[in-house]
Amino acid sequence: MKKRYILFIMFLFGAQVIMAASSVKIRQCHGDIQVRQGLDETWHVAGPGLELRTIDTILTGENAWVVLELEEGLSFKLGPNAMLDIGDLRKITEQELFLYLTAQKVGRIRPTKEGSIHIENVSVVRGANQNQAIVDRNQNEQNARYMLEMNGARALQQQAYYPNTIIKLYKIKQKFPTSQQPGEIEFYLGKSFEHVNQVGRAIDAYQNALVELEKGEAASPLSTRIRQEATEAISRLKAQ
Amino acid sequence: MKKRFFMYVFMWMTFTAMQAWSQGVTRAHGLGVRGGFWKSDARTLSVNVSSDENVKVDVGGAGGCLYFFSRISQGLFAEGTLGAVGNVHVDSGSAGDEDDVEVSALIPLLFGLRYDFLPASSTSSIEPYVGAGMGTYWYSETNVGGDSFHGSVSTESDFSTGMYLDFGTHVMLRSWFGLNFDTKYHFVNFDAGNENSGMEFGFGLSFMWGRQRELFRVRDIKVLVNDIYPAYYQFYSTYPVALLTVTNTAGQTIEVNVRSDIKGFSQRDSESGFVTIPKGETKDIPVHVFLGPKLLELTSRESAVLDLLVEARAGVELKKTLSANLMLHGRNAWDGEIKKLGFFVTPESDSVQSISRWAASMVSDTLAEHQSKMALAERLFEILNKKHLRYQSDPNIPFYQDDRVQFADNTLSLGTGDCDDLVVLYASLLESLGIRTAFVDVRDPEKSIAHVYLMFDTGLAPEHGHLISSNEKRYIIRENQNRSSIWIPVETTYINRSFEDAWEQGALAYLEDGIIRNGLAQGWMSVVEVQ
Repeated sequence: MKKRYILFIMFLFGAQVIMAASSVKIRQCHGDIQVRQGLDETWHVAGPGLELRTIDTILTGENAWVVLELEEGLSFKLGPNAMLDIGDLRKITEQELFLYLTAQKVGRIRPTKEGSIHIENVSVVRGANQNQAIVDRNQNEQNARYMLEMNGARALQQQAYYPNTIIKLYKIKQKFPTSQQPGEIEFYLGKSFEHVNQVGRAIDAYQNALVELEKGEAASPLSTRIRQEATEAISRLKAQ
Repeated sequence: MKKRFFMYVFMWMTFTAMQAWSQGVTRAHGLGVRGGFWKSDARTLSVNVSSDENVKVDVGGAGGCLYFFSRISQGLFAEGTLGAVGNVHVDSGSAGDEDDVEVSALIPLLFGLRYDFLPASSTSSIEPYVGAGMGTYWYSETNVGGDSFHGSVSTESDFSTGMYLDFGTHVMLRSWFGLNFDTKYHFVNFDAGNENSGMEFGFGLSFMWGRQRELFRVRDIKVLVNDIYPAYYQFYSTYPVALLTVTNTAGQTIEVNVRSDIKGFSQRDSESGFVTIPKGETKDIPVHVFLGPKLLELTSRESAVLDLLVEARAGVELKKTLSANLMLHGRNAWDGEIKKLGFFVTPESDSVQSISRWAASMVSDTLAEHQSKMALAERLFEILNKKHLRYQSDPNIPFYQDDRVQFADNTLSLGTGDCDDLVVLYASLLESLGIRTAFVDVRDPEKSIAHVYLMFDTGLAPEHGHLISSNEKRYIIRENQNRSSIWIPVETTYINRSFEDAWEQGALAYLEDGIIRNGLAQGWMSVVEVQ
């Protein structure tokens, strides 16, 4: 019932959501710029004037950068070693962000027994196959992918696309559930929430960052900076 | 001795029979007639004959009354009594002396309250009561005196008020008929010393009508499920089809049980179990039905009656029957609720099993879990493709709004199906191989017709997504019970194309509708796992 109610509210708000950016073009670029179209598995070299769709993805190499031309004369600069979905540049209103965050929360609500139509008849189902190959765990590749995506998120944040940054960070969190750099995603989430005046969520995110740092391994310069800035931010926000 | 023994046996049998006949539940109104004796200073019962032929006769206090009572609340009754008590005094002197005859009558008209103090739950046929009231006492006396030659007649009357206290019992022989034993003490003029004040003993018959004292009242039957869909008949054993609102009117805690069945379609009666309802409270009792597979034989819709038997107990038992109308739909009917589409998934069906085993035999068992699942999904899709299944819209049934879903067997034998039929078929095949599936329901506000496609779980953790595809837009990360894994969307209406095409179309639709157009957050797109 609660879930249905939330979905209904979300539907009402949804009517006002601004649709995706319809046209994005590469205005300027430098270095290795590649584009992956839609669901393709391959990357193609891209240059100025190339039109991109919302389902495309852009990737910048070492020392490369690209300036994208958005609607209404706006531009967006993506720095080196970054990956960004063009869909992440669409205009996201605060309402749309609210819908997204609520949907995340609703998705995590476990169905109650009352509303569930599952008819349980066993306590546990057994049938695991132990005779299977272990999947490849290429940590270096994982780290590289994580870094590319995080650089994309940082670019969004630096250019004040705060709601987009939040959604992007949630997606990264989903893709990389075991954090590559403890506390980093939560820390940037905290910063972005601060910018959209979501003080409660910002404090939660900063606190999560500190918790992740506690669980993490040896201190690095980045983790030291995150710990310090997150602690300061929490005190500042609580004092407001 | 023998006579007395038979009398005792007779009395015992009468008493036992009374217990059986009467349910101890008195009705709302009653009318009775009672004969009795009123003992007071003014009324004596004696006959004296002296030796000198002087005869004195006093016959007094015999009388009767009519009474009426009507229930005010549970045990409380208003009562009215109109009586008459006569008295005759004859003093016949010896010859030559004057004779004296006095005839007097006392007519009380009384109103009061009576309280039956045994609870409604009592099974006893004996219903004792106490009461009190007040009213008027009209006294009239006629005196005839004189001898054979001279006579005189005088009449005098008096009008007094007064009150009474009484106790007695009804012995119920039927719910509408009982014996009445009553004892009253009258205070004429509110004075116990008044010559008419005294004790009245009565015996009478009471006839009753109107509603019996209720244990409960059914306030409402709210039918929650007006339409029964055979495909999910098992669902109704756990989900209430109706809600019965019952109020306890017994004046004490009662227990209520509701039996329900749909004649011809229930496997057996379903019982709510005895629900305790405290005094004066109202409770909603859910009504379930145990429907049987016979329902799956229905090819078209028909109406049915949900029969309810409400039993209440609190010492006594009271039953009421109720009914409600329902609509039974054909076996392929679906109300469009995506959660319930899973009831059409039949992984255990023979034709599904034979295809899935065949597909499994084509896949190496040394593959990693996700590779094995991907390979199985692809083989199954290829097998269906080779069967030349075609997309075919549902038939238009006049005046019928519900969707129609074919079970996997039907789709395989017919060779055609629409999006929901193909999704059910493919999900049945995947589930039969232990691959978890979910339906993607799309109710795009910009389109006139809804759509459903499918996704299946590879079991692969999100961080290993690159093992499926280097483009993460081709798969979906789903969290379920604190475990995330990669799911592959498949557009099943692409059954006449390759698995790769169906996968790509599914992924593209999910990306455009769910992510870019925000359908998932807005609620017009949803993903429901087959359970």
